[in-house]
Amino acid sequence: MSQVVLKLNDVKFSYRNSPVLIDIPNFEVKQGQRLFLYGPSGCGKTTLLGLISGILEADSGEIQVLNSSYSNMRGRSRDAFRGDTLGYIFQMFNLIPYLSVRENIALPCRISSKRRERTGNLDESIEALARRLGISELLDRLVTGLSVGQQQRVAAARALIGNPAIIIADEPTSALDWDHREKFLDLLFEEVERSSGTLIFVSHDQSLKPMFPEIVSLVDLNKASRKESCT
Amino acid sequence: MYVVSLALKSLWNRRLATVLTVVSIAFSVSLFLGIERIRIGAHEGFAHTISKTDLIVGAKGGTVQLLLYTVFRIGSATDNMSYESFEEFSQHPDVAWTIPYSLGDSHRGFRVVGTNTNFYKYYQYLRDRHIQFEKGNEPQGVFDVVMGSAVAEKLGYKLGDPVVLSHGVSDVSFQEHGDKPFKVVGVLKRTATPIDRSLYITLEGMEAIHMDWVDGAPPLEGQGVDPKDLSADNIKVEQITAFLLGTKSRISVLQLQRDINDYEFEPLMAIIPGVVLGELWDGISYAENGLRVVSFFVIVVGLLGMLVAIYNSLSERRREMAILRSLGVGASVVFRLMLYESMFLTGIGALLGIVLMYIVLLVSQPLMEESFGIFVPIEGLSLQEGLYLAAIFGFSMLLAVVPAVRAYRNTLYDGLTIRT
Repeated sequence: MSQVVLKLNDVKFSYRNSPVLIDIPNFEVKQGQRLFLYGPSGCGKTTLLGLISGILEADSGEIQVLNSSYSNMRGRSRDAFRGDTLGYIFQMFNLIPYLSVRENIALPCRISSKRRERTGNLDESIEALARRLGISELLDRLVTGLSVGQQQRVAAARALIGNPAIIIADEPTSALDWDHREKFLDLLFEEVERSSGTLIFVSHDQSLKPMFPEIVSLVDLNKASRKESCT
Repeated sequence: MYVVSLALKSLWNRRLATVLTVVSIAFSVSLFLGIERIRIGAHEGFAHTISKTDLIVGAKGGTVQLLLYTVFRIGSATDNMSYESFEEFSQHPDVAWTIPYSLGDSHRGFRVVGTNTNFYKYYQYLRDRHIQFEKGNEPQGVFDVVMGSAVAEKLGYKLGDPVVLSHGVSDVSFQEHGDKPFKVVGVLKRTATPIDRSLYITLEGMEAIHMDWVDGAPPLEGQGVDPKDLSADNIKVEQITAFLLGTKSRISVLQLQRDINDYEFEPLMAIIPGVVLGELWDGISYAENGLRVVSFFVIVVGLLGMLVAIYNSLSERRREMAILRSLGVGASVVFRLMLYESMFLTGIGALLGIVLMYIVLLVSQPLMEESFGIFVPIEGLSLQEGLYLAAIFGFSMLLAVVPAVRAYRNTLYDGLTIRT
């Protein structure tokens, strides 16, 4: 039986003076899963990701990543823990504009010593990843000239370097056309599998569902999601 | 360590703004330090226009006035004093040396000073420097004249040239001592003090050009004394304007000053030059303080420029901060990142400013000495300047907290939201 890498138990969250936004009684993600988390806007998607990555603190309940509970960590160690265990891909603008592609990919290993240790030879790892993602020839370029598709592949490489336990992808394909979406997802699956990681893919794009073995809808998951705006 | 390299790379990414900011800080720092050095140079030069002279003695009048006409050759004496009194104090047991000054004539706007050989022997300025000759030597004959360096340069006199002195000290004189021309026998080395702007003759020479004057008017044609008949032996010096005095021991200065002020045969006054110089400087130091205030605000403006530049960059860097956040960077690291940027800008700006100051000083040093008589030595940074730099740095760090706090708050607020 696979290990549980993410576990939410009775998690409630609200911003100051606002109604409860997140109310998740139970949510588990196992190691190796490729999970499609369907989240139309207004269902608390961004907030949930903030909670999972330890940026936000739950009002009650428990969030465990790799059996460590965020409630036992202070701000700084939550930041460090996030750097060690999570790879994050944003919808767009993933890259630091003044670093080269190579430096962007290497950045997690400069910030997290655990990821650095897991990487082994950094240059070799970057080059191998880049080769598989088809961005080898871009490595020493500045990120400013890259196409959106290239940028997202660089972002994927950065999320994957140092084998973090969980890759969170927040609408990473919404800026890509259909052809590129499929190709990008295939590459992402392959790499997540290679690093024995877990993928949580958040999107409002139902057309991607068929590509995922597991699908969870945030509408069902989050008891606080307002049905009228969250369909 | 990666934070520092990120800060540097980010600055390089915005290099136009970075360079402009650094340059503006460099300019303000060099201006501040430069003004401070010139101010100190001016003060030093002023305070040491005359050194080692314990008392200046003249007829009773204003103390500042006495200082001005003896040391700075500005204004004139209200009265002369007798040569007898001068001789009496010269022989006073506490007195080591005296330098008599006989003033009142000029040459094309430059003052003429009648004095004796003691002037060349004992006069000191800028702490311990003596009068030196560029060319020629001390006046021997009655009609010999020695030029201060500025006079020789401006009027282009060479040794052996004839010089006609004018009566009175105004720039345009109607009465000339044309009947008794002088001959240039020496030129003094530059002192960067008022010494340079005078001509020096003997006391006898000064007496000689006036001896045949009647009631303040020159002798009529053919009635004057033929200069050929005059020599130092047959001229009796009656009066001088003032004299400088050095004591054997400084302990006796105050007593001597009292004795002179209470001198019963003639109303005399003795001043301690350092004291009156100080009073005079205090009187004009508001200009100096004005300069300091201006240069202080130049620094403030330079640093505010930096603040604006960094603050402006914040909005476009919000997403950069969110990315860093997702990679495990804490909000406090973002705060530090902003501080490092300011530190770097101020640090490089200040270093460049110091270099710039030295370059400007090196270039303008001869010009300043020549035109304003301000000697600014080129030496290492003083402790005081080190403190100023530390204060500038501290102030810039204080300012840097503003954008840093802003970035910190943005980062906390944005979390992993990429704002564009």
